[in-house]
Amino acid sequence: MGALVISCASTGALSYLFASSNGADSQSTALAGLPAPVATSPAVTTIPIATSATALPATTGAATTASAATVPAPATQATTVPATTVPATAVPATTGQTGAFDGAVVNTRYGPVQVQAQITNGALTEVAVVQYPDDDRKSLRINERALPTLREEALTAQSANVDTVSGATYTSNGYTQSLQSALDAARAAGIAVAA
Amino acid sequence: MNGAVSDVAVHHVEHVMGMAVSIDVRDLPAGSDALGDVVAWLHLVDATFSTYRADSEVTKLGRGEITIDDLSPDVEEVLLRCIDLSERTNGAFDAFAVPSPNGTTLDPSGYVKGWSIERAARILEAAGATSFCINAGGDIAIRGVPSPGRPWRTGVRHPDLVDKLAMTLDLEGPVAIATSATYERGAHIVDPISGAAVTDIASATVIGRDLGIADAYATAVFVMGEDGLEWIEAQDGYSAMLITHDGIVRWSSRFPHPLPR
Repeated sequence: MGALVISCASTGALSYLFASSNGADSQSTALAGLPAPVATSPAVTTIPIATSATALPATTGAATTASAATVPAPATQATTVPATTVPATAVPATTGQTGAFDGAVVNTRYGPVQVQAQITNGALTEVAVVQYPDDDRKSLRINERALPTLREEALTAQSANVDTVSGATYTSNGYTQSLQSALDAARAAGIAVAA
Repeated sequence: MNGAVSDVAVHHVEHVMGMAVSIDVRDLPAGSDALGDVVAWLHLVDATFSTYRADSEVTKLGRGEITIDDLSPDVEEVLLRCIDLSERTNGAFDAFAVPSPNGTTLDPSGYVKGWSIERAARILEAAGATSFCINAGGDIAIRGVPSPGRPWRTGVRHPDLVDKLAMTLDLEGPVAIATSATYERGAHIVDPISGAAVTDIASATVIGRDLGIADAYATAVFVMGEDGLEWIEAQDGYSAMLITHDGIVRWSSRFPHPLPR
């Protein structure tokens, strides 16, 4: 019963999209003119910003109109959060160590900031903010935008034993050259690639 | 059950829908026909949805040779989900307003691939398999783990180097991972809003529960660029990673962190 109701509503939605079609030519016209729902949708740049203090990803230089209106983003976000200096001083020189390491408290013009680096087997695996200025709305909003810039790294080329590879491999020729095809060939030969 | 005596490991690569589909099942019950059923299903999807075939349902609909009253339930389901995905992505994913290989503007391929692989996964699950990985042109549906205590080691291709990885992730099913990129076909991903080709993003990868949605979201995040990482924070259960042409990797808060090197 519920499925039937959904089906009726669904057909209605499709009818909306293809409604004005009476023949081949007008069908094509209807499809070509279909950006109607898109044109009335909000543009990508006006998507509301999430309000979680820790959830936002790196958006340096990508401030939306909404945020620009409420928070004058600092021109030099790099000075707001010492993203480069704190992990550098916190990461132990020896490899293979595991643990949480606190960075120095750095006074910024928005208040004191301290980050904690989680090191696993000598590699930086997580950065958490353990102290940040939250005394007013303005500071909090600045944190939302500035702090998550830590979720980035330089692109490196890795070779690794993997079971499978995600990538945009749309063509047979692309597949032939791909790491996935090598993995498939190895499996076909009875070789376990990733152990 | 995983590891049962009567289970067998099977591995098969099927070239269909213009790509290679790698099917890696670690615990298919002996004597099961499920692998053949999956292959037959994928060819049915190709015949029904291909935008490269003049006689597919999707091409005929796009050309107005049939109407929505003629649609099979599968095509209707896909188109409805594409409408929903267009709304959810604020038009950044759009199956109805982009240039299609068949000359129309109807191209649900960005959702069809993942959707059909999820259906293939259900065929294997119905047969009793619990541990498998289906890789369709780099978009992957994962179930279980390949062996007890070991996750699926999943690489994300380096955008510039065909035989290198940008990142390695440990994934346990049920989960899906999809990547959109221009490294193979050039700047072919078009922003449905501006109509221009996207040029500053090298690749976008999305992880989440459903491969069809992950596939569409990967296209959407690719089109949105940096804003896409913000947008996906509000999409429950999905996370994303972007690689830009200037060599920076950025990811949303729920994206599984890269493994220590």
